[in-house]
Amino acid sequence: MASKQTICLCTPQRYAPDWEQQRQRYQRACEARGFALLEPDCAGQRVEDDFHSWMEAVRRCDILVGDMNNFRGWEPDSGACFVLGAGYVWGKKIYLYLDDLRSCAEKFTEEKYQDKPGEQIDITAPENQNKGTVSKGWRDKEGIVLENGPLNLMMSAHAPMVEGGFEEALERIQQDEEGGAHRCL
Amino acid sequence: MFVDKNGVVRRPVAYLAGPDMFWPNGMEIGAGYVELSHRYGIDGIFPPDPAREDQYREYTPVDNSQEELEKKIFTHDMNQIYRSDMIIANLNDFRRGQEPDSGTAFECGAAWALGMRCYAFMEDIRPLVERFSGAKYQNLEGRWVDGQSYLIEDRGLPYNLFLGVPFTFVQGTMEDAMKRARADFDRELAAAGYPPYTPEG
Repeated sequence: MASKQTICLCTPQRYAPDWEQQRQRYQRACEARGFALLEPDCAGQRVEDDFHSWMEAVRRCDILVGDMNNFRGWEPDSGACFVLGAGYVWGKKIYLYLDDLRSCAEKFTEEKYQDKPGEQIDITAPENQNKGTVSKGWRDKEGIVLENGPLNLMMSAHAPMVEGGFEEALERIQQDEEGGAHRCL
Repeated sequence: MFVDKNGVVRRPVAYLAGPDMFWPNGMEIGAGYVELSHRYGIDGIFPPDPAREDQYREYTPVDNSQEELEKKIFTHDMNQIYRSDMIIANLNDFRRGQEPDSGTAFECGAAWALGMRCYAFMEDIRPLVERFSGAKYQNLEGRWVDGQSYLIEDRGLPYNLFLGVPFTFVQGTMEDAMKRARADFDRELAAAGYPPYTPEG
């Protein structure tokens, strides 16, 4: 029998007071769907050892799951994003989950304004092939762009995003594994 | 100039990461960064800069949809990382929160996994617990937590261990980070028996 696929979860819920209960719940959810939750061995005395244990777990896992809910502001946990970046270049299957899949611009509840329409370039035009492009649209009161997707595009452009929590992401992973259909750029 | 992984002395290519292009004058900020990099013997790439002619292929969008635009920008930016030797990241807290720009954090992870030299700059590089500007208090165990009772990582680093361990943090601006990288490269050049970098003219 093939060994279980391992899942590494990146979430700032690790900082939550009830993390241990959450972790046990996620572990059971993985087992119920035939996966194993791969936890890093972070008993190191030195912070460098913990970092390397973590990255070793990321390197070993089959599937990376990122909790992309806002954390202490309008951005997801930067540690999770770092891990996803490393996992991407290592060719890991990546799944993201968050409570709300509306665009960052729609979700933003503070003051915002919109760029003049027509400033977006035609990205299909051959002369724009090698040009860099910057998202335009809504901006916050300081003029800082609000993405038109649910997340910063470095996350959303390449990985399936699931509305919901870890369990919903697992359900999607199981469907994709059975159907052999993981979309990844 | 720097000594690369193969022992060759050449100009390091630096991916200049950060949310700077999101500002209304983002392209001018980026052009300024690239110009600065040349003063320190570094070949800076601002992510939206045009692709260079090399082995990395751009994504060809089939239409002007949001999904296709994201794939184009993502592929373009990843290519800019692949062609770099180092990253210099603007990790200042973003949009009045306690975290840096998430796209930049993703790029930092990619750069680290590719074995690149990792530098970051911030206005305040004190340990996270000290510089944390939101509500914080010590719980019954004496550990620092935020207003939702979530732990504030207390490992003596400016951010969580993922960014905190692999990055060299420089207090100040992009230019301060470039100065630091230049000093490190010059030390390595000297150790390998080469003269330090001298700006042209």
